[in-house]
Amino acid sequence: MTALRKLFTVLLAAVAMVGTTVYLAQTTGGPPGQLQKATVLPEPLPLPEFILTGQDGRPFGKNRFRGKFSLVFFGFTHCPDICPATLQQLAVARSRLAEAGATLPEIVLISVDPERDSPEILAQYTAYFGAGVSGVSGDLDELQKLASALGIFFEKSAGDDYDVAHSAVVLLIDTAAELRALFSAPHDIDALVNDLPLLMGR
Amino acid sequence: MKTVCSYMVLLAMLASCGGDSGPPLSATDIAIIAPLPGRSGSAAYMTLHNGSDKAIILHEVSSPLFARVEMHESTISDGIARMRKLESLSIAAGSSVQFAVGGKHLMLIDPVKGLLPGDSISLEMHYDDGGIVIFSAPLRTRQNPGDNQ
Repeated sequence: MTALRKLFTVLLAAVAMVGTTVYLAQTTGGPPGQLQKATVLPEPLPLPEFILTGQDGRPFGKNRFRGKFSLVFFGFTHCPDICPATLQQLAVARSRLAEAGATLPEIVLISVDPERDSPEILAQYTAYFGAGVSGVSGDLDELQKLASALGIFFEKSAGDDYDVAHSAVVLLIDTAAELRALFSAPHDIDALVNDLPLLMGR
Repeated sequence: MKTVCSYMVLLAMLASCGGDSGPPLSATDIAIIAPLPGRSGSAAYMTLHNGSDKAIILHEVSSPLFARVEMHESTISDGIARMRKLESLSIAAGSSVQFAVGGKHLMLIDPVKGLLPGDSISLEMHYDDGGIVIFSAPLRTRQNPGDNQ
């Protein structure tokens, strides 16, 4: 898994280094009409088949991503700092896109803490962030399969009152359930609002 | 990284800590975040300033309204978000330490009763010479994510 993650990191670094006008990986302040923060994969990466559980209690697999764009963040509800801050940033970006009449992505929190994050807890938690935000979790092996395929790392610490280290990246999954682009932390609402319409089409 | 929220300066109410020179520790930009639905813990942010001429070592934070308060630090390194508990925190003489999203923060664990935004929350900062400084601020919701909250 670690090797896969390294491979993915190398791949992304290679993408960033291509430096073409098509695949931009700038960090800030690109001209209007250009990406500011997103790293776009040269070829969309299809998600693997997986089965998790949505916050509605129903199975949540690859097909649930089809037909819409989704911003995916791996985190957990006991995370008091980075996870809620990131979800709030994504929710605000989504609201601003709505005000602009742009295509709206769904926001999906994939919990890497299935022991504590039941569908009920996830539903309560994600409701706070407003429309278009939902949570998913499930079997640890299925989580690991999906995470590894997407270059996502997570690792639970020891103890009862544990933490879960996790990748802080936000992924953009396209309407064909393929990884299209990613946003590295720290996240920036203005960059999301600028970049997402360019990536999703208006 | 996010910077101090400029519009919401909640002045700390200072109390306790005897001595004619007043408490050596002050706080600005206090943001005590209400637990989210389904959660029993939350976070608090602020900027602490040591106005004395010697270092202060915070070794404990407590609150009458939470079972536990811990000092934690989030980091993102190589794209991985991690959190670690700080057993103590040293603030050099005349310097400030910022507790902000994505960095140091207070973790508020298990409120002892139901809390609502607007409720006054006291945070008791225990430092190494046995002194305590108490800061209070109203509980607030997690909004304006671009700010220091």
